[in-house]
Amino acid sequence: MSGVLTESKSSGTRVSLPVFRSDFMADAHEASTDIRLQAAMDNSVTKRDMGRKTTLSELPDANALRELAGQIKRHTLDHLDYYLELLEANVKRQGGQVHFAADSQQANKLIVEIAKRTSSKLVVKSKSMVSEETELNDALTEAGIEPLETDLGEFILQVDHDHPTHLVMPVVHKNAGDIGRIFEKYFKTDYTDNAQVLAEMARVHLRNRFNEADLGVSGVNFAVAETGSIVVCCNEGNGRMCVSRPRIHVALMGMEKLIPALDDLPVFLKLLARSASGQSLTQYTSIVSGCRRPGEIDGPEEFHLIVMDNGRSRILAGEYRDTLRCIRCGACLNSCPIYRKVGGRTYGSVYPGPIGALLTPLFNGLEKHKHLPHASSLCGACFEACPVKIDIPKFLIMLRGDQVKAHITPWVERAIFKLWTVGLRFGWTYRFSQIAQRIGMRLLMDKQGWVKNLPPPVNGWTKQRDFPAPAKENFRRVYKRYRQNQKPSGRH
Amino acid sequence: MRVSLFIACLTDLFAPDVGMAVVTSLEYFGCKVDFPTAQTCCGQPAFNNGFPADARTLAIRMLDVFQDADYVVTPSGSCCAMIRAHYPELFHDDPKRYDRAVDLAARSYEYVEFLTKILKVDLSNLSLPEDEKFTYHYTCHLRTLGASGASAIALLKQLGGASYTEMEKADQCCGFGGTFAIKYTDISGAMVRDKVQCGAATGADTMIVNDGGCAMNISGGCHRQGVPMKVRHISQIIAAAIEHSAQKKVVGV
Amino acid sequence: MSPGMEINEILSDEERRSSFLSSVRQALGHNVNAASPAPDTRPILSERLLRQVEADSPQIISRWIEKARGNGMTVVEASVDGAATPAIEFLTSHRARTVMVNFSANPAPGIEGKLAAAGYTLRHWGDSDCMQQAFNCDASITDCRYGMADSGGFLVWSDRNFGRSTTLTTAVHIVLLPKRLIVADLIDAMPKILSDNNGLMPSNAVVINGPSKTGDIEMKLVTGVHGPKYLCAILLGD
Repeated sequence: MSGVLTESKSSGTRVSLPVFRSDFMADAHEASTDIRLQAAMDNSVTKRDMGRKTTLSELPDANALRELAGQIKRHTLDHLDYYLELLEANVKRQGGQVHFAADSQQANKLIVEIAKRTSSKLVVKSKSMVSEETELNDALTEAGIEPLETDLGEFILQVDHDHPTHLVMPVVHKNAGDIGRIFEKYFKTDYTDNAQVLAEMARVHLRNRFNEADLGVSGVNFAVAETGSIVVCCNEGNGRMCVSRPRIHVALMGMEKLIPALDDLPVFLKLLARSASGQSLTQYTSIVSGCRRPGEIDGPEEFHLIVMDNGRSRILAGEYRDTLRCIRCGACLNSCPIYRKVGGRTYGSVYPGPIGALLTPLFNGLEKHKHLPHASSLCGACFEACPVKIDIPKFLIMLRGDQVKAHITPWVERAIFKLWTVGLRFGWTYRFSQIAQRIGMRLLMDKQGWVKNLPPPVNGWTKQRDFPAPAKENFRRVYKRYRQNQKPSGRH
Repeated sequence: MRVSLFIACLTDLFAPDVGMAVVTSLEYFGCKVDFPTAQTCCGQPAFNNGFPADARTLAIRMLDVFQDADYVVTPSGSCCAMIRAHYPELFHDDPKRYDRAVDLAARSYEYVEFLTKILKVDLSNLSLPEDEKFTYHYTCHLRTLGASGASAIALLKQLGGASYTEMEKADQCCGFGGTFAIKYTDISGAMVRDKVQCGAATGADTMIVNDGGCAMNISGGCHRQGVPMKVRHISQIIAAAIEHSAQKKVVGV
Repeated sequence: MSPGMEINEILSDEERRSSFLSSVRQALGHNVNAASPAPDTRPILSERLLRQVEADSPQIISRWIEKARGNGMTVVEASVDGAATPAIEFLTSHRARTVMVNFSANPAPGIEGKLAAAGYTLRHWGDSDCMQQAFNCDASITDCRYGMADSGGFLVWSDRNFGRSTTLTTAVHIVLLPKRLIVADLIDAMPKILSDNNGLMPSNAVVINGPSKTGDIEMKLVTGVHGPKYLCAILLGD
């Protein structure tokens, strides 16, 4: 089983990831001429990519450590059933509860039920991409419970009814002026674009609400099976607040987030923050094991771990298992020349960037996301950046192959490639096609030897740059003459 | 040392002088160069677009064409990466061809790799006809080859008259990506414009690249934007230095 | 239970669990109806790949100080008896008047008396309303379990005497760190979370690597977003 959804009929096939936008080409077109967006990208993601390289060089052998991290993840995935049960047993041993959710709706339902049972009216959330995946905030709101994002970037997005465009830096697409205007409206205060002042506004507002909150929802960076612990890495401190202050703590995780033991944790901690943001560690790394112990003064009275599948078992089953190694660091986004140009919104999915280009069609089906596997030059920067060595270019090519097999690739394209292969298969067809190209191009070129307008279907080239016409004589001819001139009977 | 040249289809058609530069420079360094005329294409475009069976058809031809070559050298980084990284896996279910593919991969080198790793050339007694300012674009496929741009830059710096300035985002893809440049024209356009800007900002006369696709893409971009910077394959620079030094000898300088 | 079951059906916890694990076992090609055994082997951890500071390095303290300052911490060295002086200086410079005190050990005997004598209003973790007080105090003063020289951070964990809030909720935080508790590397400190607790995990352990911060707004560094804005480490002893 390839583990890839190709059927689009709705029976038994439920869309797993929310899709926010559906016209990739139109969004790419708009974004690629958005100079402001690209400047914001260079100021943020490009810098972070450089930071990643600099801080990784502090490690004795970053490349070998990435290989080890990838192997640990692969091992865990290969034995995920064992490790899930181990995690469950150890969480329960420490007074926590574990709930298994087959999909988004079940996960949301479980959380709403917990909130209702505990009479929780206000839910504070620290950053969780999985909660974006399930659209938890909508489910809570519908149930009459108030969700409040506490990560500064996520809070800004919540107030503005917008979506994150990066795995780690949610508001990378907004500048200080945008945020100033949002807060001016929301807090009914004077406009400022001073980052410190804006952050202070959010701090004061959110701080009071932490005190009122009944329930805290956190994501999970790593779940340690042997100790029944969940790890939350954050810089702002809101992650710590969410797991410390409210009476109830709900941790929501994709089932792939496990690692076997506490000893494995430093492998990932030493790679995560470096890969994500060029830091040696995040300011806070919380290792939470169950709820408060008897006699402790603070800490949650109840701890619930929601483990979610939502299509991951299908990916686990197939050739794309290694895509589940992902630790959501965002390094591939930061390194990607396409992401740098078009930003996260263009991908239209809760998971953008190179890993998103893989996961979105894997979760939702290739039919729904024709462009994502192709909107890549296969440069390999993502693979080089990935701390767990997911061979993203390899998987993108495999998805393209799956599209061909499923006849999602337009028949015109398939025909062209068949013809092209035939053309290159035999010496005489190769030479013939070369001659044809040369004649054709030289008809189109200007006096300096440049073609300004190629005909369809290759006119995409000349929309953006000129095309050099083929040389008057190809290399074979030139080389042949060179050799003939070299013969003893000839002269230089 | 006997070297068989794999010209790569783009270079064959669009940049024959790059091919000749590779030949003459390798000969200067003491290699005997041959060119198996039966060669066509490594199959990379088919492979990249999800047509592995078609890529395999072309790969089989390549295995035959270069069966007897001691070394296969190509000026195209991406073609070399195709052979080294992907040929073995194309034949995963065909043990005989798999072995041949592994064998071919072990004999195949990208031009700069060959100069630095096998020939271990020293260019410090060569110089360019005129002082020239260079910058360097790091061809993506060097990643697959496990190479860095440092080797090419080091070679360049050895040449008399050559000065080098690193450009920003030197290792960011130029936007070629084969059919990507045609299918995803807007994104590709933004990428090549960025590359041209970064190159122009260094004030360099010439940008060096290691791949025919990059060269076509970036030079096309420079020309469209009216940026006078030249785009050259490093073999052309080395060949020019070799020719200049040979002339100096003739004149008795 | 088939994985494609309609959400409208009400499943018991046990049914949901069973169905979930069956899907995973099936995906892995394992026996669907039985728990899978432990794996025979695991990837071997290599200390060489992880260790950034040698355990016997003479530079452990100096490296810790350098890294901690790089992370935005104020770092001062003091004798056990002289710890109050830099503490008072830090509190004064940040106009703190009320201080929440929470020590798990007794790293600087007498320090509380000196703070009280200097006019600070002290609250204690363990007082009846300490949860709210931790929120209201200007500052907190705590110790910690270990310092780690590879990244310049320190480790805390909660128990009946040591809270989560006391290293989190005030704008100013002073942490007392005896030098003998500074270990070379995170990989030296991590196992102690278990070994110092009789093989059981504490409910909440945190590696703290500096003051609270964010770069969410145009990558501009802002400190003190939710956690402490001003963090001072007072290194004690030789």
